Amino acid sequence: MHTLLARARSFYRALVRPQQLGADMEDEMRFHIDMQAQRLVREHGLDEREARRRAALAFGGVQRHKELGRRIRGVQWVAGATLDVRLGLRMLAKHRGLALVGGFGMAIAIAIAAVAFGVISAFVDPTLPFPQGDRVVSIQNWDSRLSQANRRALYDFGLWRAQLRSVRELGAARMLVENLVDEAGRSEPVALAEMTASGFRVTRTPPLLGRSLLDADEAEGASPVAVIGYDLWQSRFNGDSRVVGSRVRIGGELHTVVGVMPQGFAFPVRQALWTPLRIGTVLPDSGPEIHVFGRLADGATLQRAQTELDALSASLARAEPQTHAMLRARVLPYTYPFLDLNDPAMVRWLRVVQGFVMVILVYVCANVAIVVYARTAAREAEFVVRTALGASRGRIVAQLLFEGLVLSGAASVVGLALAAGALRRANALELGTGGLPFWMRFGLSVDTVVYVTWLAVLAAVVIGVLPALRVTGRDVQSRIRAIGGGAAGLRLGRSWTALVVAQLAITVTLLPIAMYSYRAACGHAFAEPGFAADRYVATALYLDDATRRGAFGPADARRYAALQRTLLERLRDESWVAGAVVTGTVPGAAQRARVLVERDRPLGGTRRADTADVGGEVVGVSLVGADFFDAFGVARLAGRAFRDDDLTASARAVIVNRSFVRDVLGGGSAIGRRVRRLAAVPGDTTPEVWYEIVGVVDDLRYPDSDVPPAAVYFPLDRAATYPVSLVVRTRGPAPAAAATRMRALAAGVDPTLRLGDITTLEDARRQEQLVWRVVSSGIGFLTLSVLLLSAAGIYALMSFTVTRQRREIGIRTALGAQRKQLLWTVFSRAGTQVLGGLGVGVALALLIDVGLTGGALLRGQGLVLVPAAGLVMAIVGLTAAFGPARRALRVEPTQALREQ
Amino acid sequence: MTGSAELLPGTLDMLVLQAVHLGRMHGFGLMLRIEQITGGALQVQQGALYGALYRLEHQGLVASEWGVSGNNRRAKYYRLTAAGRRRLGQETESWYRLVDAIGMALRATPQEG
Repeated sequence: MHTLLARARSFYRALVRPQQLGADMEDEMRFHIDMQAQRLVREHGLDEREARRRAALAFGGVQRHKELGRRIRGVQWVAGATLDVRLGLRMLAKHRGLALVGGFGMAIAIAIAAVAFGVISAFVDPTLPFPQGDRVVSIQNWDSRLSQANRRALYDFGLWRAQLRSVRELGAARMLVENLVDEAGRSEPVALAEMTASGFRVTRTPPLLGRSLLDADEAEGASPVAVIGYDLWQSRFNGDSRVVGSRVRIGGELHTVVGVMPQGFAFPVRQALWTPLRIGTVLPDSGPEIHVFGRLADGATLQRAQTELDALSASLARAEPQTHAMLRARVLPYTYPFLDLNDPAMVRWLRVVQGFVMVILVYVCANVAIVVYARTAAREAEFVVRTALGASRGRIVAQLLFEGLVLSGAASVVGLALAAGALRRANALELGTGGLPFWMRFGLSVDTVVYVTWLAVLAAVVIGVLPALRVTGRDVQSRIRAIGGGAAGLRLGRSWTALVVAQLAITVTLLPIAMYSYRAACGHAFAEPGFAADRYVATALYLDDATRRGAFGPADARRYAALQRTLLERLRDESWVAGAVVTGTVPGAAQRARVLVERDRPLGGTRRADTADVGGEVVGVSLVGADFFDAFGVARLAGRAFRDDDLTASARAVIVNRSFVRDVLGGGSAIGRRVRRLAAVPGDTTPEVWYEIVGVVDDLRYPDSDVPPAAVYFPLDRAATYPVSLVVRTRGPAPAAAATRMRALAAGVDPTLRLGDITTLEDARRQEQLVWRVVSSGIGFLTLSVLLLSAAGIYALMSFTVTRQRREIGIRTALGAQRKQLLWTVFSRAGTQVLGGLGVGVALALLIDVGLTGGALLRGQGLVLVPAAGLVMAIVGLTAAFGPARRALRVEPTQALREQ
Repeated sequence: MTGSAELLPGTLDMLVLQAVHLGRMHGFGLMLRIEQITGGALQVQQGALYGALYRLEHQGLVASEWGVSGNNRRAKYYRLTAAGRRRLGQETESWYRLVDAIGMALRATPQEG
């Protein structure tokens, strides 16, 4: 034990102060030699110089003994590594082009890999910020018939709570958004959770002020209480501690505030307000939709909990076959149901994406490796000499590994910085209402840094070790002979040709696809709306009491329509409002749907519904009111606008846009033709209804990545649609106080009339486009780096090949060959490789295109992109061959022979 | 015959430990001391002495510190640690056992009969 400690201490000292160690050993040995020299002068009468010479000789090499000293301490590699790093830096400075192009490519690939790792980890392996947060789980009923979760699980929750042993503190929450009206009368929607008191126990988070909910609060007839979140306490109550005991109105009902939760607490997802969940008596598969969660009991595992739940599900299926025959309860990591990760296949898919991103890095590194290989091969003489002087193969491989590490390390630092910036921006993304879930914070975690370090080593192995192994592979004797004779050291046989062909093929395959994706992503990221989007404020209209009841009856519909009218009137009276409309769909929120068009124009009043195209066309479908097009300044091109009698369930009129007429109908007159929506789900039994096109309007240009430009507008039935959206057009840019004013007006019309998120269409567009901007810049940088690297790789390969033919060219010149013949030899070889690569690449691009997109790429820009990529690579390849070939031809035959 | 003998493999460390045991000293002094205590019979290869010292120090058997030599120069002095003292005891004991055994073997004479 003592020896082990002493060794560790000695190793550590040598490791942290290698310079000091070297200097100390040097001093000590010099002292010894000096003393010995003095002794020789004294005892043998030698002159000082001779004495020193003999003393040094008797001692042996100081360097050798120092090396031994390092080896004994286990740090002999440190000096070597320091030297290698220094050499690596020198090589980077010497080959600046390679450093820049290779480093740039790797930095981009590493940044993309780090972002993908960070984001996917945040989804798949989240950490809940609670004590033992990894023990918190979700439980849900899975409907195997519909392949979706059934969240009406209040009945099941009661059974699970009574019977489950492996999951404790079982709780349930219902998530709503309701108006919170404080004592001053200010009203604002707040994300609310009706939650069992056990929800607070699951999180093991004590309240900051007052108390959290108690089991007694859930009892029927208990006085209504509420717990508020930290941010709400700060923003609405100015952080006043007297808030505990005050009364607030939530969804029309008065509640007493009993506690404040600490900052960052937003359980279950992003909630800011908690009231007790009252369960009462419920029937199977009824009641509101809830989320069920709990904590694994000590020693329990997910598998054990699942086994227990399987048994409960089986007995429930027997007891309630009508509702539970197809339901199976599942236990999942807590966050999965919120992120649509219910399906294990989805989680696996995300892991595949994570792996795929790494493949990109390996591909980029392989490109860098090709360039490095050409450089390494050119340095063969250096390695042979070092080997002859006693350096082992391992030592030389280590040197090249360190050179690779210097490059990949620098690229990693840049890549991490880029990733940190991208992840910081990702935090600004809104996932639904109110930002990211409480457990999700994107950023550079220790895991990400470890991952990137691992990637850097992987990259260094690919770019350093692989070329090194190949170059140092042959035995020293033959290499020395080869170099001494001036002959080409490395044989560049079939594998070299294969490398050139493969490199070209992959580039020609990938480039058009990458450029196509880049253009598509840019199209989404930078599209501008066709109207002044900053002058349109949009929101959704909710009736809180109807939401709370979970039902929307005819009486509610009438009241809802009346409230809409009153609100519109009051809004139009505002001085800053230029107009206000109610619509089913705001721009950017159109649904994708398949519609069928009647093939022939109706003749003589007889309609032939049976002649419809099979399959239909995907278009964007919107529900709009009569005043919608005027509000957005959309011109009418043909036919008429919606009339009041169109806006009823029995009416059968639609309006289409210019793109629809062009893309779906193929031009011509649209008025009078008929369309119908296809069933969204196979087996849907909704009756097939044909709609007649009564008008054509111009395209409403607004970026929407999900739907094609062809649009069909259905008339909005205000009484049958819930919730509807409200769009307010402002006179100037939307005033900052617009949201507050709109909420005040709505609350004035009716306290239960609640406005959802209020945002200008401009902000909504920016939010939507933010993702596309990140994606497009990622693809753009990656494409650029692949293009640069491929070009550099091809250039290096071709020029290296031709340089190696220099001797042959010299000899043939000496034998009287013509310049033309020689050039033909060089270029026919290079040309064969280039053409071979291009041919394979184009074929692969075609195959992938047909396989993935059904040939869409080649119908459009691919026609230009594929040959363009091929041409660029061909020019690069032939240019690379040209320079060295010209130089070789200028060589005097005698000189070429002398080089032999 | 010059009177000096080859050092047996594996005995250098023991010899250095014994030399350090006699008193705190720098490397050169230790070399002189070994010559002295072996009556000049054993010659230590000078550079190898440092290999042994670094090995013993790495194992925690000797400790070192910088000091000033008799001629006023900066020198590194070695001293025995408690672990070094124990090891020297063990080595000495096993050496004598070995010498006794080999001596006994060499003293054996052919038996009649």
